[in-house]
Amino acid sequence: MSEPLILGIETSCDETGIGIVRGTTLLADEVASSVDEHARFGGVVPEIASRAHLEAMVPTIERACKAANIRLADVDAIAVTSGPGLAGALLVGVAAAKSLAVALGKPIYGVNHLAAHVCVDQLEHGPLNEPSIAMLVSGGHSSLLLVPDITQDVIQLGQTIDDAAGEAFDKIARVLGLPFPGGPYIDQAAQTGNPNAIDFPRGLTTPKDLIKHRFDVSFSGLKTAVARWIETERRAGNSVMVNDVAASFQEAIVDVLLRKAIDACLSNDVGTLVIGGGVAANSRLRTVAAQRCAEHSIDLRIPSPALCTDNGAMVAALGSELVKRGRDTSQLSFATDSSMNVTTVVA
Amino acid sequence: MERLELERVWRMNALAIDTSVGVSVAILRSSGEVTQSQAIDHGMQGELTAELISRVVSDSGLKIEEITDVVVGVGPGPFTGLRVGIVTAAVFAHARNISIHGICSLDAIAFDYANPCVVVTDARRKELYWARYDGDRIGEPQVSKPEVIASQFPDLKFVGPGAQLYPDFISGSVMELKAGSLAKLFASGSAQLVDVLPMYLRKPDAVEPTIRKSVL
Ligand SMILES: [Zn+2]
Repeated sequence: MSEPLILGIETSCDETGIGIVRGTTLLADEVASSVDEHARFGGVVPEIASRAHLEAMVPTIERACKAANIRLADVDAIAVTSGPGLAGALLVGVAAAKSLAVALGKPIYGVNHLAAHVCVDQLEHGPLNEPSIAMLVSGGHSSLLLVPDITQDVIQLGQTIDDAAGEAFDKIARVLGLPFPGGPYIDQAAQTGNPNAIDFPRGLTTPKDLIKHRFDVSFSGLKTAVARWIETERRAGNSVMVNDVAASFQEAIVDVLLRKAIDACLSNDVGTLVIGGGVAANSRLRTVAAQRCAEHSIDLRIPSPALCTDNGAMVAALGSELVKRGRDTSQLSFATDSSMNVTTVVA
Repeated sequence: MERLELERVWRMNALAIDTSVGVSVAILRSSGEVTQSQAIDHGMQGELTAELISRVVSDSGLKIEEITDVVVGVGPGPFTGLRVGIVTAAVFAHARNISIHGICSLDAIAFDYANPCVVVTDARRKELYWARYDGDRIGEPQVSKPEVIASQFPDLKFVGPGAQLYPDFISGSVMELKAGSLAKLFASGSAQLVDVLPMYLRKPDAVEPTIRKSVL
């Protein structure tokens, strides 16, 4: 018998993602993004995202089936992000998934978005090592997780105590006059900048901080420091080198994130680090992660950029693993949970 | 269960869904039998809609594959709940490869009531969604303050879930919005079909910021 065919739906933020996998083989990963509609607001507007999800849903499902060369009726199970995320946006995806489940007479899994970010790596790099340490960094989350069993046992070690990593990129980009979303623009500007030009602060890394916040991160202090530095330079009549600021800011974020992630691996005696989320597409993060993991003989796994950002394939990948391990399906009446805790893998 | 007397040849088994006021789901069989189920709680559309569909289909004695058409109320109604019904209907129709038909939700209430009347539903923010009927709907649905609607139609009857929300201005007959009526209206052949997109009637709550000051 061939492996199960899973369709995954992701609508937790501004991407309408439909993914189709068979076992751990990726067949389709279609994404309709409303990011351009949000750009002029400098951030994601929930109502605009929800409207866009509704309009994109059927066309994106159709494109995914075509790309995967399957019929909807062939699908063995539906998986959908049930949280965390924007409430109204989640609701559109979950309603669509439930409707598919009823119309096709197939089981449904309402799954945790964060666990899906981790599980997607299986589509490219083979079965997940368990336990793994996972670091998820995006505009919506900054979490450090210990993953003994991706289908039912995920432990949160730490998270951001203020902004998400991606938000910090967005805010600094704004300060530097770069467009939204800030990540790619800062990455690009930093290419020709000096990462050691300015010594920006590394939040929550002093011995005192580590007592309470060993695996937590904080970016608001960094954001303030960058803004203040620019202001001071400007007042002094100096021209501000955007590329140096971008590179130095990026270096500070990358340094803190990886210090915490490596510490999590070493202190938990875990030999694998998985990095996911939109910020995992950052080229400096990937380079430094590779260096530091090599130093400590940690197996580093980062999905390719398209699978790091929000997409339906990650949801399908987790659904597939749930089917494979015989986990319980969700009730048809399950609710979305905009602040779903990562300890809950299936709704 | 009730039976609709059909005057014309009817070969459809329709699934009707409306989430503009709570959730209401119905099956209208080609025999004229209507099976419906509803929950008037606001904000439970996401939990209940698929479950009610599943229950109503099985109560009707139909198999999923015998459904030939989907009829959906496209509002107006509170956006978040409204979208649940519309995406549910659209995906269902796509998955079963059957036709989908959009109808203004207020039309279903007017269909149940002897015209002429003004149908009103809760638009929150101290406003009502409304449309005037005299046989057919007169004009497009709108959203207005109750005092404005009341002064515009001093002699007309008000009906619908919003008819008692603002007794200082409007006092009428509270009537539920039933998906069965949506299905019957469609079956009557007299429905005014519209695009399967929500009737938002309000712009998203997002104010475009003024040009951002760069500190540079
Ligand atoms: Zn994400």
